[in-house]
Amino acid sequence: MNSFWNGKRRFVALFMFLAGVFVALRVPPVIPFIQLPGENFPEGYNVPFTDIRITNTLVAGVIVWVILLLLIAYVARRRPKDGSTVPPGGFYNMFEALFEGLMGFIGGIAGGPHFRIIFNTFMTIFLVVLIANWMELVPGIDTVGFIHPHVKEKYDADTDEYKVVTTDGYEIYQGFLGISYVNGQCDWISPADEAAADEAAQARADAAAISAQQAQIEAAAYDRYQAAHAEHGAEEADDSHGDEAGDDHGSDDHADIAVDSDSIAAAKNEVLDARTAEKQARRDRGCYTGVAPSAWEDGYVEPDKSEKKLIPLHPEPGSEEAKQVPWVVLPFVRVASTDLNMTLTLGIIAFVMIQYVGFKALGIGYLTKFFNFGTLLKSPLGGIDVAVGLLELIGDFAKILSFSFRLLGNIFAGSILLFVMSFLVPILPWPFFILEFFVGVIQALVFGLLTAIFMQLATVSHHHDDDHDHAEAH
Amino acid sequence: MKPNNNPLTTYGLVAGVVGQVGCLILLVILGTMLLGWGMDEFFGTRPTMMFVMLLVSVPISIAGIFFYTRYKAKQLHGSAVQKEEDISE
Repeated sequence: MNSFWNGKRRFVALFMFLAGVFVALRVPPVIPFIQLPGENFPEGYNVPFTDIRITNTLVAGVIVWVILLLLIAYVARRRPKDGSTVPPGGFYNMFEALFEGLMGFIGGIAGGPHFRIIFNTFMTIFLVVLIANWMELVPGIDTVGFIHPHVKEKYDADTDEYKVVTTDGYEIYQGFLGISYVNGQCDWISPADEAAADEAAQARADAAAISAQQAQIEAAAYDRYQAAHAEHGAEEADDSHGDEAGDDHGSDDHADIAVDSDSIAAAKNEVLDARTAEKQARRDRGCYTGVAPSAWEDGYVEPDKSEKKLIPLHPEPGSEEAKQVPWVVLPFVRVASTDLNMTLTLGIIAFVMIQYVGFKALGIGYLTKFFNFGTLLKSPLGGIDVAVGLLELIGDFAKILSFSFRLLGNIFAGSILLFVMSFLVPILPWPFFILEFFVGVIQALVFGLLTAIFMQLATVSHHHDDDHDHAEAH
Repeated sequence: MKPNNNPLTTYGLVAGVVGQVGCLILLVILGTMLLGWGMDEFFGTRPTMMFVMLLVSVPISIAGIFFYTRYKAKQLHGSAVQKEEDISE
């Protein structure tokens, strides 16, 4: 381990750390966009020969299977021939150790005639979920993607057609615990910059007030001068007064100029109103400084969700229409386990395998686990068994939900945790990557292990106790 | 005393423990996050305390899983040993 950090690797790590610090300090943070369902790729990216749009979680799912197949091919190729004494070494050894360890582990839980099918199911689920979970640790996943207008199609009942409408008004607001929905169109302005812009606007307003006052004084002086000049001309024509008297008269007037305070205030307000309108326009577009204000904060204006503007789905960049569109990053690849479709599918597969191995072990008698009417006639308390059987039936279907939501919740929360932490505090989130590394293993193990346990449970006869009692009696 | 060596019970217990372990991390993170959030609201230090508490949740959740699993394993092992003793008696 010590030798691992010798030589160039130390400098690579140092360089990456410094690069991280540099990027973190130079690039303003972006508020992450959070969406539970997998995001659809833009138009034109359909599943081949179908109208189904590709989702970024589907891409991740395909990558998982490709990695898994490559892994199998690699392991199969490196596997030593029977009787060979040459140790293969490297990754193969690690995989074999993992495989053997898990085989022994599952053998301890579900060793028996159905061990092979149980272990196969366990190992498949474990590897798929593990690779899918660990993908969230790979840089670029969840962060690199299409720059995409955040719009959606909505059915318009009036015209009986689907229209593309902005999601303005509700896609950006502060969610639970300060997690905000993003408007990618809005460039981020730091609170310090916003305050500086306010100060600059105030200074401009003061300058406008002073210049308005100056303009009034100059205008009044000019008017007075014109009036005095006209008067002076008339007096010259009369030859009755000298220049001095005219000048005195003029200076008296200068002192008496009444400044129109209303118009000065109006000039000042004009600048301030423009600044307020600019801020309001940003807010109307759903743009805020830093994070959006909460509903309970002062100055929060509930966005108008009723008015939807009709805009094209893919406006020309730089056009006027494009300015109305909120832009977001649509990742090329998002972790497959953060999509309920994937976890639910695995849950259903696990459920089917549990039932399959149950029927395989016990035949049609497996159904007595759920429909246990046999004891109804034997004992007055047989009704309880019937009720328990029905509860078992419900419980088995509930397993699908518990399987899928457990994995989805853990990995989706982990993904959010990772990128929210990355945006909140640069460099420091590495402990969360370690945590997510463990969470990935634990969730994969839990999913696989529960499947194995439930499969083993399904192979055990429900009348085991009775059989045991009979055996003891004999 | 009649020993309860029904495999359904044992496997059910194991399944319960595994299921709980699966949700433990999420609960710890959620708990510490809420605690940090509350402390931020109280002290007006948003979002420092939430970040600190989330950071604290990392060792807590890993250690929590380790100790919880060990504790439950001991319990299960103890009950299994007890069953064997009952059977031998």
